[in-house]
Amino acid sequence: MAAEEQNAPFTLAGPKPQPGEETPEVRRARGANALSVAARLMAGAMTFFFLSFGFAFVYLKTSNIEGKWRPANVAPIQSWGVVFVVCLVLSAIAIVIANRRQGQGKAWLGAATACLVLGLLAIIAQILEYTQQTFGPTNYAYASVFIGWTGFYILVMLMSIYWIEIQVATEARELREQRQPHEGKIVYEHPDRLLPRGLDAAAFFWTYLVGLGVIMWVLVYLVK
Amino acid sequence: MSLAYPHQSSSSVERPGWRKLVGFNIFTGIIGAVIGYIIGWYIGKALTTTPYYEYIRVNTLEDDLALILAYSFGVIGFLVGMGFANYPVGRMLGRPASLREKETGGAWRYFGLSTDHKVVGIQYLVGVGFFFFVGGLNAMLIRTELLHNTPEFVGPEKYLTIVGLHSVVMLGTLTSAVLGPFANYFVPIMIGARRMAFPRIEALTFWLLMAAGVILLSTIFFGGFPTGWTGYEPLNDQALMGMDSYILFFALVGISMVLLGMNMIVTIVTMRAPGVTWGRLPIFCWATFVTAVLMVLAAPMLIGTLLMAALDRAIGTSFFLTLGGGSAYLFENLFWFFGHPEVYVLALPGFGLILEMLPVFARKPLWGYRIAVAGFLGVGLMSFFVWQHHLFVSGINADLRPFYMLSTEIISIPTGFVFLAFIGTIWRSRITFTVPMLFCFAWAFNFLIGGASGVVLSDVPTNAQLHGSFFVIAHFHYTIMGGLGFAFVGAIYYYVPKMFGFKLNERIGKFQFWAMFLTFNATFLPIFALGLKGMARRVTFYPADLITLNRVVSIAAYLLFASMLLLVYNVVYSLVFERERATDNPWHSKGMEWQVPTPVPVDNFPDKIPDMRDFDPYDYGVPVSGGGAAPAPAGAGA
Repeated sequence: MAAEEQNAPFTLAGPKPQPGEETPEVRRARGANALSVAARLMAGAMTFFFLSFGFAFVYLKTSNIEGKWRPANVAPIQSWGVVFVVCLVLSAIAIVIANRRQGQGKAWLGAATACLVLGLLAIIAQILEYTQQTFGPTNYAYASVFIGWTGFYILVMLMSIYWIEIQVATEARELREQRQPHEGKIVYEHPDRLLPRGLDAAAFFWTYLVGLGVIMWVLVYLVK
Repeated sequence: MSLAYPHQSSSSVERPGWRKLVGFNIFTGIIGAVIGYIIGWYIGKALTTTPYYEYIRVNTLEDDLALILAYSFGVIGFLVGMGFANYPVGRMLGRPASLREKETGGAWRYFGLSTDHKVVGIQYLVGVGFFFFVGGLNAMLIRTELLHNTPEFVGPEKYLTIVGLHSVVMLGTLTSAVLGPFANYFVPIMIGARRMAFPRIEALTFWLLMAAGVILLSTIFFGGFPTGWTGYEPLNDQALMGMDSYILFFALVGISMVLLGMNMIVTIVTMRAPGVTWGRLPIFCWATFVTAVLMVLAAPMLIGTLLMAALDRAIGTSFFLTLGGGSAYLFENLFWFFGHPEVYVLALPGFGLILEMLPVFARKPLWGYRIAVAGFLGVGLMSFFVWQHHLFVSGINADLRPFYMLSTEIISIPTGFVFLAFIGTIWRSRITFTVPMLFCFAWAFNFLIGGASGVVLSDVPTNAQLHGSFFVIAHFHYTIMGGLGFAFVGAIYYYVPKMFGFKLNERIGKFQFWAMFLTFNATFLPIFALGLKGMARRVTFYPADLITLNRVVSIAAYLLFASMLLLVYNVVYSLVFERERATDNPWHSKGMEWQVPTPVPVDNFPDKIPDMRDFDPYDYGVPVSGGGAAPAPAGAGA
């Protein structure tokens, strides 16, 4: 393959593929579709995963077995909770902006990076709250749900942040490679550029996760 | 622009030298697992010596936190050693994606991360087969203990662990008994795709399952677990460290199920060849699809529940402990919200296999395709609305009982759709009684008994009497082993020629079938009687007047186990002593999976994916001499 062909910009334009012909365009579109479906399925799986904690919250709260649901001295630190949820919501806005800026060069990179930073800040806020709160996991049912739900939520956040980080890292590396083209390196039309970047899917999953996070925040911070 | 297609040129990407040296295979995986286990154990021990831990977890002599961390780090180390971290780390650094791992080469590719769905399918078949054998061995120990009406063989405590191991191995690993080997291998070919949507995730699901299995078996070093497969609280929290093995096992199986299901759905939704519309999807793919939906939605509930149980045991939370404001009944609800769909995760793929094989040997198109699909969808949907029937005698609000009784009875209607399709297909057909076809008939006989006894059990007054008795054991063995087990073995006879290139001996196969069918019924029909006579589950003491019946059951069970060993013998015999090389399509099937050459090429359809707009996998109404309706994909050589 000639070097100029390798460095030629990728385009979806071209002759319409015949049925069954697996052209790069077909492959790319199929890959994007696969990631999109996968993101929605993961959203469904996460809904049921956190539903188990939500069900535990509602069931134990309404049962209030032996009056041990939530002693008076067990209360989350509201200020950290506000920081957490504000960072979450802002990160969702950032990723939506990044997604809408796709196709405008590197304009989306800043917004995606902001989403990453805000997501990490939310996690840090939650961890800081753990170190400062006055109750531990053994302080009855509410404390258990609080620690379990928020703990596994930030674990899932980390996995989702990883997905967004891939988008940013791939773009950054591609920009760097384009500035310094050289022979002998793996070039991007194969196979990576044939695969979709996946920002659509990652953005969907992140915003969905933020939605779940807001529901969690309302339940564990605001509901008395 | 002459861009090469990835399936043709990705092998040109050279691996760095250090990567070739290190290898990333099962041996490095085991080394990684040991290192991870040691690290996790020491971190856990270090944490438990802190004053804070003593504050939260007083009066405990167990190292639950250390063991849970050791298992978790061990699994991570295993996966890193297998090479599963290379790709994610590379992508994190912005490196380009690579699509392939160990797709070509010799037998070595079966011992590592392979992105070829056919390799993964065979890995699953061997792996699941091994755990099926382990579960069977435990069943033999159970039956040996029950030869006497007092504990004389292993004793009550070990008996509980053996019962638990048998049930958890069977229900945990056999969730993937069909989707693992057969769906991974054949669904991409059936829909005209070259690979699964996420090949690395496909490989990950298998190795996670194997890691989980090893963790479960290690429970014997930590005192076992007394809860059976349900892991009920508060016994769960009170049990020795062996309980942690159960928790980690099922959590990993749950993760594997979610990923397997997701991969299957995405593959079927996005990678179908032209012409494979939803209305023309092979029936096995439909069963796989519905099963995958159940896996994706139900298994996360199990994972969440088990993580809560792990927190209760390791750091003293109170999700399920009444002393701390928790509730054991919460666990039971959450568990069965997963547990009942799980039953259909086991049963539905069996339905799909049976209806896939039936037209081939009836030489007739599948009758009632839409009815069967409606049955699958109905069963899948309703399986989320019946779970409380497991709690009829566990404190359920009495007003809720009629609803769950009715919903359980109604779920038999979509199940009946599958039987309708079965009967319609064999009606006035030209049946060939091959070994796979015999297993299809056995499935119908067994599952009918299992299903009918399920309707009996769904009735609240009956359930109140029979709950916790051997009647329930007979019921679910008729549905799971009689249904899934017989479909699984039948599918082995059916698909081995395509997967391995040789046919299993028909004569031994028929003998094995009759031995398995007769001994299965000789084992489990009397168990219905034992249940009706009041024999309780999970206890080693029983009334003396049940000894004779129990001995009959035990002898039949030994013979059933021997009949399964006959299958192994048949494989060895057919492979070594009288090898009959399979042709590309030995059953003269119209399915796309039989139109590709044997062995199947790495990319299934090397030159071009097939145009399946005029293709009908059940077109047995057209004379074969006319060439059928199965177009040979370009380059397939069929």
